[in-house]
This record gives sequence, structure tokens and C-alpha cells, in this order.
Amino acid sequence: MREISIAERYAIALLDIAVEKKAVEKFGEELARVVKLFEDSRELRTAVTHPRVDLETRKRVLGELMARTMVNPTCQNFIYLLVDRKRISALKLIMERYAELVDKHLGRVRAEVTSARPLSAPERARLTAALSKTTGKQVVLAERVDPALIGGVITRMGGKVIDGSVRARLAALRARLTAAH
Amino acid sequence: MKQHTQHTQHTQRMTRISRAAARALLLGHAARAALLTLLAAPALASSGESTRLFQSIDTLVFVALIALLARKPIKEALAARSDAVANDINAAKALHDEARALLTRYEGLLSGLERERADLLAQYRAQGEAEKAALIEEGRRDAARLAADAQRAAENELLALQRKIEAELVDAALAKAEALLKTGVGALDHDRLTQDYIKQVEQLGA
Repeated sequence: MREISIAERYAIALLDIAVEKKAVEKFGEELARVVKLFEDSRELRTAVTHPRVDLETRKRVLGELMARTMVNPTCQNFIYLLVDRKRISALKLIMERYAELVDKHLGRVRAEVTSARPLSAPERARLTAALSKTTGKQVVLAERVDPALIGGVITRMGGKVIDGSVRARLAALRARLTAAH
Repeated sequence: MKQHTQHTQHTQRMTRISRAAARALLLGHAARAALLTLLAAPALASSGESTRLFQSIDTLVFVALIALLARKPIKEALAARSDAVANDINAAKALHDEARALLTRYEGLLSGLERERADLLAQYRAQGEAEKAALIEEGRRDAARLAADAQRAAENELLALQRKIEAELVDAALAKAEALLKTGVGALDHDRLTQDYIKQVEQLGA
């Protein structure tokens, strides 16, 4: 809970700077790239978070890495700040909260769409349009494929779930058959 | 009361002594007369027949004297003896009556005890019978309750088993259906399912 609150504060501060620099979405993308680097490399996580690695070494490693991934200087400074204040472990939470704040700032909503097979482009466009009409906001789809659904689609948007999967239908059928007895 | 009794007894004793003295004096005079007669008789008798006659007379006089002198004491002694015997009889009768009364009382007590024993026995028997009946009734109730419990438990178990079997059947049927769907759903089915889903979302926004 405390980490969420900290992440919120840092995300709001970064958004203010991003709005000022008119790079709201760019900052989000760069943060996501750095988070992905952390997630993909255990060595990097260890080098940046281990207490026996001093601050200068951490910053140097991160600096080389961010230069290679072409992270702009503002984002680099933001990450150095997190290292200095020993908040780098909250980077993923900050990135997630920043994305939410950006969506809110731009008046859009994210929808996580899970389907048994990848959606075609027309299906994606039609679904996005339908969801935008439902919410009255611009909808950004985050797609995921899960064959365990057998067939159909599930959309999670905010706290709402629209489940049209075959797996859900089978579960409903099981519940009806069990309740009938 | 005790002093009066003692005085009366003393007076009676003195009267008896006076009477005995008088009798002894009289008896002495009579004895002397008889002795004189007897002493005079041999002198007077000179023949054998006269001797026998005088002897007879002597005897008669002696007997008469004896009867005259000893009649009253003997009578008194007999009367005293009779009184004593009567007293003894009375005392014995009183004792007998007392013993009888005691016997009657004890018989009554025994009879009461017997009745009490019989009453107690009857009471205990009645209590025992009542308790026996209560125990039998309780046993019947327990047996009925146990039977009802057993039946209910059996019914519940049967129902649970039935539900378990039904659940297993449902699971098996759905597992089979899921397996069939996994292998049987093709590209066209996926398309149709996705189109249906998008229509459903569109209807939500309509």
C-alpha cells in the first residue's frame, strides 16, 4: 500500500514534466522499455538493487544501458533520482500508474482483451469501436491469447469483465446442471 | 401410704399373737384334764372289758380334745393357706393377664409390622413396576429416535452419494464436451464466436 502511494507520487511528478515537454506517451514508452529490461535480466536487477553495489556503479550501469536503448535525458534523470532515493524497486509500479494517469489525461481507457486465437485487424477495429461506444472514451486494447478459453473472447476494462469464452459457457452449464439437483 | 400399710400389718401381727396365747392356755387346760382322765382310767378299770371301754373313751376324749383345741388353728392355717394360694392365683392371674396384654400388644405390633412390611413391599413393587414401565417407555422412545436418526442419516448419505454421482456425471460429461470442443472448434467456429462476442459488446453500447 505504501509502495503504491509512493509510485503514485512519482508518476504524477513525471506526468507533469511530460505534459510540459509534450512527451506524455513517449515517456511512458521509455519507462516501459526500461521495465522490460529489468524484467528480462536478473543480473541487471541484482546490479541495480543489491545493497553491496554502490550508487555510482548502479548509475553507471543504468546510464550505459539507457544510452543503448535511447532513453531521453529527462527519463534518465528520473531513473537516477529513483536510484538515489532507493526507489528503483518501485519502477514497475510507477510505470503502471503513469500509464493509468496518461490514459486519464488523454481521456482514454485500456481494455485487456484475451482470445483463444489472435484477433484479425477488422475484428480488433470493430471491437475497439464497440468498446469505445460502450464507454464513451477512446479505448486502447491490450491483447493476449489464451487457448484455454477454447473459443470466444474476454474483455477486462476497469472493474468490468465481459466474458464470451467457451470456457465460461461450460462453467455456466456446469453450475446450472449442479444447481438443478 | 407406706406407713399406713406398715401400721396395719403390725396390728394384724399383734392380734394373731394374742389369739395364739389364748389358744395355748386353753390347750394346756384341756391337756391337763385329758391327762387326769387317762391316769384315772387304769385305776378305775379292774376288768378287761372295762379296760377296753376306758381306752376307747380315752381315745375319743383325746380326739375330741384335739379336735376341739386344734380345729380353729388348723382352720385358720388352712384359711391362710387358702388366702395365700388365692393371692398367688390372683397374682398369677394378674401376671397372666399382664402377659396376655403384652402378648396382645406385641401381636398387634407384629401384625402392624406385618401390615407395614406388606405395605412397603406393595409400595416398592408398585414403584418398581412404574420404574420398569418408564424404562421400557424410555427404551422404546430411544429406539424410535435411533431408528429415525439412522433413517435420516441413511437418507442424507444416499442424497450425498446421489449428488456426488451426479456431480461426477456432470464433470465427466463436461470434460468430454470440453475435450470435443478443444479438438472440434475450427477457424470458422472461432470466427463465428468472435463475431458473436463483438455483436454482444455492440449491443451493450446500443
